[in-house]
Amino acid sequence: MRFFPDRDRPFVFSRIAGPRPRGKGRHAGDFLTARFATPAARIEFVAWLFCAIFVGLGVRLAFVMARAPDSQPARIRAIASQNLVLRAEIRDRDGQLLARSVATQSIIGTPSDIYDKKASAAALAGAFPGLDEARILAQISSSRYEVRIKRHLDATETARFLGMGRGGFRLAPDVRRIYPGGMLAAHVLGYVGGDRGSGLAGIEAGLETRLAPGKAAPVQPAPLVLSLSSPVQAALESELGTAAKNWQARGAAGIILDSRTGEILALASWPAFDLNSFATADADWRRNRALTEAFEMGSVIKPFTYAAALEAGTLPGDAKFDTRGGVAVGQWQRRDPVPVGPGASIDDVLAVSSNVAAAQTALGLGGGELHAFFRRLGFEGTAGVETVEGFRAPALVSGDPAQTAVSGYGYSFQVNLVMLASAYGALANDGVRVLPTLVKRDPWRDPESVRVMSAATAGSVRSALREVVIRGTGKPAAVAGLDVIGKTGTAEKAVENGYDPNRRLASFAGIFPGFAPHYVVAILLDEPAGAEGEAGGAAAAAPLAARVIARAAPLLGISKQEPATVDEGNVQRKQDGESRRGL
Amino acid sequence: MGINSGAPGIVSDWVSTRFEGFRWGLVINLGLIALLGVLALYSVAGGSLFPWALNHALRFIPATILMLMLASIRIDTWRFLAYFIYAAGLLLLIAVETNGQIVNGARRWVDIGPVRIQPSEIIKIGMVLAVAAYYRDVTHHYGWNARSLLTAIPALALIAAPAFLVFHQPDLGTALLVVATGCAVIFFAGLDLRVIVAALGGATAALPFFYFYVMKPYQRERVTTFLNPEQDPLGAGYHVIQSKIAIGSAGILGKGYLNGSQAQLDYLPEKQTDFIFTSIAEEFGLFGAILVLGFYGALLLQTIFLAEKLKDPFARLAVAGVWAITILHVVINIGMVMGLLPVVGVPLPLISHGGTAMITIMVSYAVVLSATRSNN
Repeated sequence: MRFFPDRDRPFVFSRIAGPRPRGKGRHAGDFLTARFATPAARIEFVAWLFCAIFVGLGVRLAFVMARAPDSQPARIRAIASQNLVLRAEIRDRDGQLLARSVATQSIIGTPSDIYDKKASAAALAGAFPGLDEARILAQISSSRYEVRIKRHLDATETARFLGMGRGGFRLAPDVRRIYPGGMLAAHVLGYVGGDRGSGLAGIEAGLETRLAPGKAAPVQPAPLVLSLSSPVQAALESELGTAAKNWQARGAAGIILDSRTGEILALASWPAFDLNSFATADADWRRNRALTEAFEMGSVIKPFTYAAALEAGTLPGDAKFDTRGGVAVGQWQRRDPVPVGPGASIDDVLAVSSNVAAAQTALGLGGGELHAFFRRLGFEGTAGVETVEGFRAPALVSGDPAQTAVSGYGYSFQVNLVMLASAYGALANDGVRVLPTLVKRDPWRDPESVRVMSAATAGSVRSALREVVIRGTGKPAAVAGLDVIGKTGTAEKAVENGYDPNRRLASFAGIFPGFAPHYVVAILLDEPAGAEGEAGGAAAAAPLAARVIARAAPLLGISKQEPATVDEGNVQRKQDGESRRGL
Repeated sequence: MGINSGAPGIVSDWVSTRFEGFRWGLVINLGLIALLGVLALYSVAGGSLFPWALNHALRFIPATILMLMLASIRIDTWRFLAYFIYAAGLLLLIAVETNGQIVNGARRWVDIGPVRIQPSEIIKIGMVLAVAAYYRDVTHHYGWNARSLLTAIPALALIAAPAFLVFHQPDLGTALLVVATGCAVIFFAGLDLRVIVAALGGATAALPFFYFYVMKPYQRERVTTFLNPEQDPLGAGYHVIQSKIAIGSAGILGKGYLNGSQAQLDYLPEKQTDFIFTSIAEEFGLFGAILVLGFYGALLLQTIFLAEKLKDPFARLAVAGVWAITILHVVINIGMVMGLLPVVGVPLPLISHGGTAMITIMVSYAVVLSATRSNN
C-alpha cells in the first residue's frame, strides 16, 4: 500500500511554471491566464500556496512554543494566576506590624440561579443589617453573570451566611488590608483599593510591585520593613497635631531623618486620617504635606548659602558683614529691619537671620555656583523616597542678580520638607548627603550618597547654627543637654501678585544632638494664626521642634550631655525683628 | 492489499470491484487523526472517558463504516445526489431558523427525531457537491464556458443562500467558511483570473461596510479583541490569552499527557471543541503540535494529489472542495488558538468533539474515495 498513490510524478510547478505554451503569452495578462488555464494547474498552484501556509503555521508554532514560559508578559501571567496571593505585610524598623492582608469571604450571587429573588433579598437584608434590601434585589435582578452582595465577612457573619441555605449565593475568597496602627504613619503607608486591592497611595502604591508581584511570586512576599520607628512616629504625630491645633494652622508636617543612612524615622502630616476607613476621609487630609507640598522655604535655606560661599572660597571663614546699608542690585533693594555690623560674623548674621547678609553672600558667589550647590543638595528633581506621592522641583535656573540675591535667603525656588531635611542631613553628616529612603537600609550595603561640601565647611555652618539656637531666633528650639542646632524660617506664601504677609509658613530645620550630629528634624506649620512675628518660625515652629526632639531623643537612645557654657547677650537677639521676607 | 487476492465468492467479487485501487492510506490517516482526538478528549476531561472521549470513539466506528459504504457509490450517483443533499441541507437551515435550539446564544441545532444535528455542518459538503455538479452539468450539457462570470453567478447564488442563513444564526465563522470553500470550488472550476482579481479588490473595499453595518456587536468585538486581546483580558480576550498561555508554556516536549494545567484546571473555554488544539499543544508540546499538523498535511496532500489527477470534472471539483473544507478548518482553527486569527467557531476536523461535524467530514471523504474510481 502506498500512502500517496496519486503522487506519480515530481510535484513541482510543472504546469504553471513549465515551458510557455506556444502561440500565447504575447501580453502579460495572456501569459498569466494561460498559466492558470486548466483546473489541474490551478489546483497545483493552490496546493503549493497552502503548503506554504502550513509550513508557516508550523514555524510560527515553533517560535511560540520553543520560547521559555517566563518570557510571557507579566500581565498575562498575573491573569493566569487565579489564586488569591496575599499582599506583603508592612512592618516598621523594629518589626512592629503596620499593614497586613487577611483572607476574608465575600457573598457572591449568581442572578440566573436565584429563583425567588424577592425572598432572597429580604433574607439577606435581614441577616446582615448593613445591607439594603432594594439594592440587593436590584443586584440579583440584573443580567450580570455574578454580583457581589457583601465583602469581607467576619467569622460570625460567615457562619450566619452558611446557616441561611439560600440557592444562587456562594462564598468567595477575598482579601482585606488591615492597618493595626490606624492613623499611625497613615500618609506614609497609603492604602489599597479596588477589586484587586492595588495600592492607591503612599508606600502601598509606590512599592506595589514589591508588595504584590503577581504571578512572578505565587506565594506571599516577605514583609516590607520600613525605616520608620513607630514610637518616634507617634511622638512626632502627637506633637505636630497638638501644635497645629493650638496655632489653628491649615496643615502641618514633620520629619525625623537619620543623616548617616538617609533613613526617615518618622514622617508625619496633619490633618491625619484612619487608614482603615480612608474612603470617608477628606481628600485634603489624605495629602502628605511633607511630600506633595513645596514652598519657597525662606530663611531655613540661608545656612546653605553660607556653606556654598565658604566651600567656593568667596567667603572667608572670618568674614565680616555690615548690613546697615542694605543690599541693592539695580532697581531691586533690600534692607534688614535690625541691621548688624560692622564686623558682624557669620554666626551673628545667621543668629538674627539677616536677609541682606545672605543676599550679599549669594551675589558674591554668583547665581551659577549657588544653584550648582543647591542642585547637589537635592533641590532639583524629586526627593526620591518610595511613596507614590512626591514633588518634582523644576530645574534651577540662574536668572538676573536680583534672583540670585533672593535665592540666597530661600526664595525663587520651591522644595518640599523631605528635600529640606535631606539637605540638612548633609550638614549633619559632615558634608555627605545620603539619599533619603522610607525603607530600612541593609547595613551591609553602602547607601547612595553625594558629597555636597567638605567636612570643615559643614562643621563651620553647624557651629553657626548652634549660635542660632543659643542666642538667636532658634532659642525656643533648645533642649537642655541635647545641644540642638538649627535654623528657623518664616516665609511669606506666594500669592497671585507677590507675597501675602498674612499667610506664612513657619518652619524649623535642625540637627540633634549637636555634640554628635546624627538626626535631622524638620517642622513645617502652614499658616499658623497670629500676627507677623508672633506666629513665625521662632514662635511656632522652634518650640514644637524642641518638644519633638525632647520626646524623640530618648527613643533614639541619645544620652544628654551637660550643655556647653554659652556666652549670651553679646548679639542682640530680636525675635520680633524678622524682615518682611525673611527669617 | 490482500483484500482481492483471489478469494472466491460473491462478497469477494463485490469487494474486489468496489475497492480496487482503494485509498486505504487515506482511511488509515483519518483513523489516526480521530485517535488523536480521542486521546485529547480523554485528557481535557481530566483523564476520563466521559463525557467526550468514549463518545468520540464510539461515533467514529459507525462513521467509518458509513464512509466505506458510501465510498462504494459511483461518482455519477454522487453527482445526481448532490442537488438533493444541498436542498436537504438548505431546508434544515431554514428549519433551524424557524424552530432551532438555542445553545450559547446562537440558534444552530435542529432536532430530527431523537438526533440533534447542526445543519451548518451538513451544508458545507452539500454546497461543495452542488457547485461542483452545477459546473460539470452546465459545461457538459449546455457547453457554458467555466471561465465566464455569467456561469459563476448561479454558483455564487448556491453559495450565498446557505451562507446567509448560517450568518443569521448567527455563526460568522461557519458562514465565512462556506463562502471561502465555495469560492475555492469556483476558482478550481476555472473562473477567469481577471474576474477573481476584481472580486478580491471589491471584497477588500467592502470590508469596512461589512464591519460597521452587517456584523453584530459581539462579532465586531471579536475582531477588535483579535487585534488587541489584552484590552479586555477577563472578557472577550480571555479565550485567546488563555490559549496563548497554554501554548506558550508548553515548550518542545510539552507538560506531558494529562498534565496540561491550563486545560485541566478549566482556564480554557471550549476546550473540547474549538480549543482542543491548545490542550494537545500544551501536553505534547511543539512535538505534538507538529505531529497534528503532519497528519493533516498528509491527508491534504493525499487529497490534492488525487484532485489534480482526476479527469471527471465533477469528481475533481468535489475532491478539491473537500480539500478546501479540510484545510480551511485546520488553518482557521489553529490560527485562532494561536492568536493569529479572530476567534470564530471553527472546529478541528475529527479531533474536536462534535457529532455532525464528524459525520460531515467522513461523508466528504466518502466522496473523495468514490472519486478515486472515476478514472477507471
